[in-house]
Amino acid sequence: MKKIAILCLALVMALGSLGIGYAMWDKTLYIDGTVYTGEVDAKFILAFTDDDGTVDDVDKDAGDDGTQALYDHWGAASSADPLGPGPNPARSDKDVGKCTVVIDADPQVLIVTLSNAYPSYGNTIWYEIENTGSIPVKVQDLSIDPDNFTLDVEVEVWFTDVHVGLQIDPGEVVQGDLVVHVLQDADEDATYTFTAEIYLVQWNEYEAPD
Amino acid sequence: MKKIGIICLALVLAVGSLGVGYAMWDKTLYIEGTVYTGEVNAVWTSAFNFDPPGPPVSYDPNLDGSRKDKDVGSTTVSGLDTQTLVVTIDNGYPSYFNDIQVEFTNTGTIPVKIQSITITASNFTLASAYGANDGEVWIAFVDGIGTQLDPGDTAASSFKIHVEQSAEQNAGGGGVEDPPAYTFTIEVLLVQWNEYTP
Repeated sequence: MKKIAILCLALVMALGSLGIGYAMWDKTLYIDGTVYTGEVDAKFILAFTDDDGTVDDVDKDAGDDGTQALYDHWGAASSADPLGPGPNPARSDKDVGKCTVVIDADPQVLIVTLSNAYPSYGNTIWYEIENTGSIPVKVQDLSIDPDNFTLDVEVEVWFTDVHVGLQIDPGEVVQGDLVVHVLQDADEDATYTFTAEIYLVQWNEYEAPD
Repeated sequence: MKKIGIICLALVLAVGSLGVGYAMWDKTLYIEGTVYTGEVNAVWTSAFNFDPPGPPVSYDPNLDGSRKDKDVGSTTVSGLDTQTLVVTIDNGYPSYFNDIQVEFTNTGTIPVKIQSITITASNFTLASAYGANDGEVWIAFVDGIGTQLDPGDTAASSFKIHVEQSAEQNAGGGGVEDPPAYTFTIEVLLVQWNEYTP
């Protein structure tokens, strides 16, 4: 009995010394880290059309001076109707339609309005986009979504200059344009609405289309 | 059991970190567009008839502007401010003539041009010329093809009608043996000015 007790005691002491044998002094060093992330942001900073009665850029809409030769529906609010898309188009001798654009209170939205349009009437809407964030972006996608008509049947809409893959660095401004053209199948006294989207992504996450 | 639990937790954490790794920052800019289309429209706004039914008496007109010495036939015109003028000749006879001076106005918002003028006889032969007698009735509309009307503009024109010798009696009389009245349509086709084809 005594032997057993001694054995147990020895075991306990051995186990106890095992614990003491493994205790150690320690010190922890810390790294306190903070990550401030950047921002992807962009907005429209300028927009004008080729038929709003104002010359905004002599290299783009020099003929949009509010004057016309024969028929004037809009007075100084519009000009002789452009006869094609792009910079400084030839013009009709009549001011029948009108196209205006404003940057919304939300500068990520442009509001474009064509009035008294007719088959063959078309406009170029010029805009500038500024990368107001701190991260370079690329145009990942451009899309046109008609609400109540079929694209290329009643109205055709397309982007030029701004293209998929275009990179815009922070602080950089790029100019692009949107063309709207009324086609023969458009109805009289109709209201057609659409939304065009320019989808920007951080440049290193851009995926080139197939 | 405990091992399965740990494995599941590890899997969830791994999948979760996978999602975090592929998220990207983006921004969408919008262009909201509205297109309001205009309207092509026009109506007859005036029609001067040289031989309305009386009173007062209106001697039947001649092509040269003179008058016959009798008031036999008459012409009525209705349908102003619409797209269809209705012209009716009553008690017409061979040599009966009238010249209807008409005006139409562009009531739309788009300039138009006269693309074509078409005269269609429903149930008779159109004479080829005044007095040619190769048809029952001669009708001529003053040709204004290519004339442009801006919104609000009015165009003046006229059409002449002459009953030829071959016209039958009692046309439209209603009797069993009476031939039907001679009916015709004049179409003045207006198109948006920039789509006019000469």
